[in-house]
Amino acid sequence: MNYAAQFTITAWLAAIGTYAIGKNRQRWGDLFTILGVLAGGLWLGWLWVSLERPPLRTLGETRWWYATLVPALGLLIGWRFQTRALAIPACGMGVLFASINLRHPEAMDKTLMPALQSAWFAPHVIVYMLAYSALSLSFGIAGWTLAKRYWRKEAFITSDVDLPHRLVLIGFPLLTCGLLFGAFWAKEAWGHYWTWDPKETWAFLTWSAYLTYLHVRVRHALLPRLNLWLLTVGFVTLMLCWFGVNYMPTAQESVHTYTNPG
Amino acid sequence: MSTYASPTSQKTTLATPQNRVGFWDEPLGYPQAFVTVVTALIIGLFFHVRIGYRVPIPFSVVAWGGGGYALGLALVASRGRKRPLIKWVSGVPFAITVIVATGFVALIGAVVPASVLAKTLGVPSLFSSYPFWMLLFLMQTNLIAVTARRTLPLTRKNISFVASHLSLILIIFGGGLSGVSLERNRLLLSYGQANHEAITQEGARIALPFSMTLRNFKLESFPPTLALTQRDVHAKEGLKTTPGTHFLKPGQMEQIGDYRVRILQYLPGAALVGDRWIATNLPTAAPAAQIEAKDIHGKDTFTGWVSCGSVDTAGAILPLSGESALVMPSLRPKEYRASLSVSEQGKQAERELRVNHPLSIGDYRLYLLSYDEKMGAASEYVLVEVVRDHGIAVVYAGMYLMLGAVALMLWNGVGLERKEGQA
Repeated sequence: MNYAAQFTITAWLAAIGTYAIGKNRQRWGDLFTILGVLAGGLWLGWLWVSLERPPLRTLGETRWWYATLVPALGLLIGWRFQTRALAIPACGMGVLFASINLRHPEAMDKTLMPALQSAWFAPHVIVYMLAYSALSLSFGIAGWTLAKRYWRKEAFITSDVDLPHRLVLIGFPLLTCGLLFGAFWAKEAWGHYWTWDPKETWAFLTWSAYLTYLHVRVRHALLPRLNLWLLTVGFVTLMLCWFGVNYMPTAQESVHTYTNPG
Repeated sequence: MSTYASPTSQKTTLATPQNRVGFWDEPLGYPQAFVTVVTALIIGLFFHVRIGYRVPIPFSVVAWGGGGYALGLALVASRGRKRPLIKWVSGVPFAITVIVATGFVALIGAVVPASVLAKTLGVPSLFSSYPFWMLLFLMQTNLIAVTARRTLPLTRKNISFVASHLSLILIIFGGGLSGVSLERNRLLLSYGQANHEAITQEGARIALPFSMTLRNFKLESFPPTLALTQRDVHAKEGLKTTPGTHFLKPGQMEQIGDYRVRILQYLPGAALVGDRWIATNLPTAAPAAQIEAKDIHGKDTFTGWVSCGSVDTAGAILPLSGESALVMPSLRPKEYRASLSVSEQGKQAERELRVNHPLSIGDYRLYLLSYDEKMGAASEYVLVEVVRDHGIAVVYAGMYLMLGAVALMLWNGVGLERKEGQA
């Protein structure tokens, strides 16, 4: 694990450095990003084969997916919309989350409880990781813009929200798919599609936070600062749903106890 | 690119003293939505205080009353789409206020344990309480009104909007039908004994239109692993556990913490006879392994047997230097299944029930819930959840429609939609 993590981190750090140096070295930055993504992808593939189950059970395992998907998505969306704004934040988030896994290595084993042995398991978690990646990038740009504008005491402009909003338009449908896949799966495994389990309630809150943002965006597009703050609130809710719920008083009532804090 | 404008310079529905006479005069916006939401919550609380947490509402009342309200409102909203009240109730400020209020109530449920809410407020589930249902009613009102206003004429431009909002209407309506009709009963099935009496969530006994008998129960567990436990005052319960990752097999080597561990013998099923472990295939047998552990920093070597034990056999650990030991954690179930005889209207059928593979019998869906975990593979009973839900078809229709809506939203989000004037 150490070698794969070290290689991906090195590649993304090299990409960040290359992107930061200058515009004429963007292709080298992309190449380093791709190398890191490939290494992360190969590592996940190797885990899947060697563990004989999808490596999506623990928080540490989902962090690997996230660390790999954020730079991949950053690159793809950057190419699609002809923007370089995502390159450094995407690689930075990849480095951060791969480093957390390196700092807190998890014992991985092949066990998978019967309820998780479902055709819905992999699609549910992977689509969530894709959603989290897009929404994290959205927050990355929103947070950076907020900090920049406040630091420089500049006025907010409506175009500040364009790229973060575009990312929400990708992340929110994926987040909804994750919710729906989870509901279909819960019905097959436990008999009911929605039981307001603490994890489900936090998933609903995350979805509601971004739903509020989308409505505010429709009505108050001329309030960029409000929009950017709402994206921040959405991301905080998302993080509480992913990690924070395990540390809340309601955690012991959750059936999602297989996501041990890693 | 436009520059930042202050909120006062923007188009807004916030009423100003100059253009209105009373609070409910035009333009209606956030303040009126806020008052409506608070009023709905107060009405919900009033119901809770006066008539209790949850009074059974007949399915037909929700189905016909809800359906009638939806159709009536849709008709009024589509015909009077320019009326100020319809514009307001279907508008974004109303939607935002209701979503935020629902989020706040959900936040309480997300943070405060249900047991605390039940003890302090007498509300076993916040999400089944009248105040929450009142918020869902307002949300439904907003959704129906806006969908009715925006559906006609149905064009490629508004299809994603209509599909996403209509799907939510169906999900909330179906959820309401589920809420008043859902039966989640538990059926205990013991070997060879036919049973048709299930226990409801309230603890009452009800007769099912079929009976079932447990014929066979099979439990397959993952092979055991090892773990190193060490006394650590800072760790949870004073013990730090370092799990091994490999399933046990003879000759296997693995480093766990500061020990290199080798498996000398492995017995998947064993029993302790005197001071010896012998192989057996009894259902209550426990796995056992003879292991050798070498301290990688010193020259100490420890040899002995470890076992997680079973209902008939005591477990064994291998003490190491200091206050540490190698242990075999309890086995984790890989799969369990029950073979059942189902008797319905004089007909007998043999069926198999597994986790994630429910059975359907008439209106009922059956789920394998649990077994006697102490007895493991020798469990003499299984617990089956028997579910009947008359709202499920509507909810599923809504969820599939929502999948379509989000696919369209994603298509648009990635920028693959055809632009105006493009072929």
